[in-house]
Amino acid sequence: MSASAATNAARRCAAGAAMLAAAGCAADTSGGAPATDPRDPYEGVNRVFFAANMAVDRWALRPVAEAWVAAVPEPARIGVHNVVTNATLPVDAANALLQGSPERSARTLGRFAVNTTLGIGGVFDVATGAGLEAADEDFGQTLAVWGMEPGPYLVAPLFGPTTVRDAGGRLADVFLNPVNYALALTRAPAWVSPAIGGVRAVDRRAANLDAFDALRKGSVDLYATVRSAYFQFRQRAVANAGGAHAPPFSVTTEEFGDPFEFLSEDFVE
Amino acid sequence: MSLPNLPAARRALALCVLAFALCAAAPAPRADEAGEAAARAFVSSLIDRALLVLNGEAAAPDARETGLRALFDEYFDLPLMTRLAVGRYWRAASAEQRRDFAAAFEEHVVGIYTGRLAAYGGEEIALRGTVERTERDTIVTTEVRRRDAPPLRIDWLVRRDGSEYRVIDVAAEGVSMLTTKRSEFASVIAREGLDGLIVLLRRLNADPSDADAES
Repeated sequence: MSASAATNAARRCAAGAAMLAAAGCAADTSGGAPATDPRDPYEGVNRVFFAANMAVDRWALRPVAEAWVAAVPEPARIGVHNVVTNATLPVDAANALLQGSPERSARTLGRFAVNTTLGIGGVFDVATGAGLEAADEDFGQTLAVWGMEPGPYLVAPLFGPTTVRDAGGRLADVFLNPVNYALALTRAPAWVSPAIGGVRAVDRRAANLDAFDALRKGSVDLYATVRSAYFQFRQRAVANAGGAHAPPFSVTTEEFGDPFEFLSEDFVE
Repeated sequence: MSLPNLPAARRALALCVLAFALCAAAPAPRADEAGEAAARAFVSSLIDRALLVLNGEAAAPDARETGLRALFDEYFDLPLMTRLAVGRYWRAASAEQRRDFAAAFEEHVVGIYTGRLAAYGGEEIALRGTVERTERDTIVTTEVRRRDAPPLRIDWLVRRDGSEYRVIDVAAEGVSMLTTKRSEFASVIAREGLDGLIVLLRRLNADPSDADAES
């Protein structure tokens, strides 16, 4: 992979991360707040970037996502959504394999093959009807399955909430993504990669308009809310690695992740 | 959507589950299975009644809020949720702080749920299963089937107290409300104390329109 492909890919990654950034920003009125969460030793710096990301969301990403929803008919939006999610399926498949789930990996690749061909480049989702569901895996989850701890919580500019492990995972995913190699091989113009990232960011933000508003309006400290939600999401994603589609009747909380883990903590009744 | 049939179907299911629970208890007293079935029936009846409120003829915002508040009082263990939300700061709190916080927190939580449920558009809600978490606590899993989106998974944490059941937490897609609130509240309490949190909650309750519009 050429250096320019890597740069492009990194840029694309950053643009795609804008949504995550947006999904996690708050106005915090306090200045130097004491760190209250041992997972977040850099809270002071993180809060600054969080506020900046929130401003980017407020003035750029959210308005664009709203305009996208208002101006583009739903079938077209669904088509775009299908294309961008289809394009990263090889990454999901590779990670499922690295996590020791060859069946899920194969199913994900099958989905990619079917939707790319019969679904005309991924515009139409014909695979779901055929029972080919996607695994949702990334290299951060793979590292977790391999036993790596998340490390400190980080909020990077435009990148959004992440951890040391998950940030490394996202960089690795850039190299696992065939689209980036294809762009390099075809000498695609430099704007293509960031454009793809931008479309992905808008697509994701558009899907979360109401949910994130609800989160924001119901929070007394959005920074802390997003941080907590991020860790819970990731824990859940990692716990699902073994069998996201296993029927809950037969799973235990160990296998599926326990959202109510806090009850086991030492709390005062 | 098969909306008109839904409450009836749900009630029938609840009855089946309840019947199963009773039958199961008699010949083969597997306490855990009977407990799980009872917890399932409990959540099922809560969903039934919530749907009645949401789909009701008088589904005006006010009627919805009154109806949901009543359900909340009946089905949730609010005193326990209040203590859990404050966590370790509860011990040091004065009686007055506890009372003020409890009132502000109840308002806050009811506001959150009525806000979320306002977006309910008749999606089907299905029971998926139960997991016994501890002797007292059972997780009941439900699924909101959405159009053009993968199902939304909602887990209910149900605690048994004698023969009574109460919801003590709800998790959407693995994100627990109490876990999130604990983290959020701890962050505010560390900076501004419990009194500061009560002030913030009251302000949010009074004007939930846009908490950080000035950002």
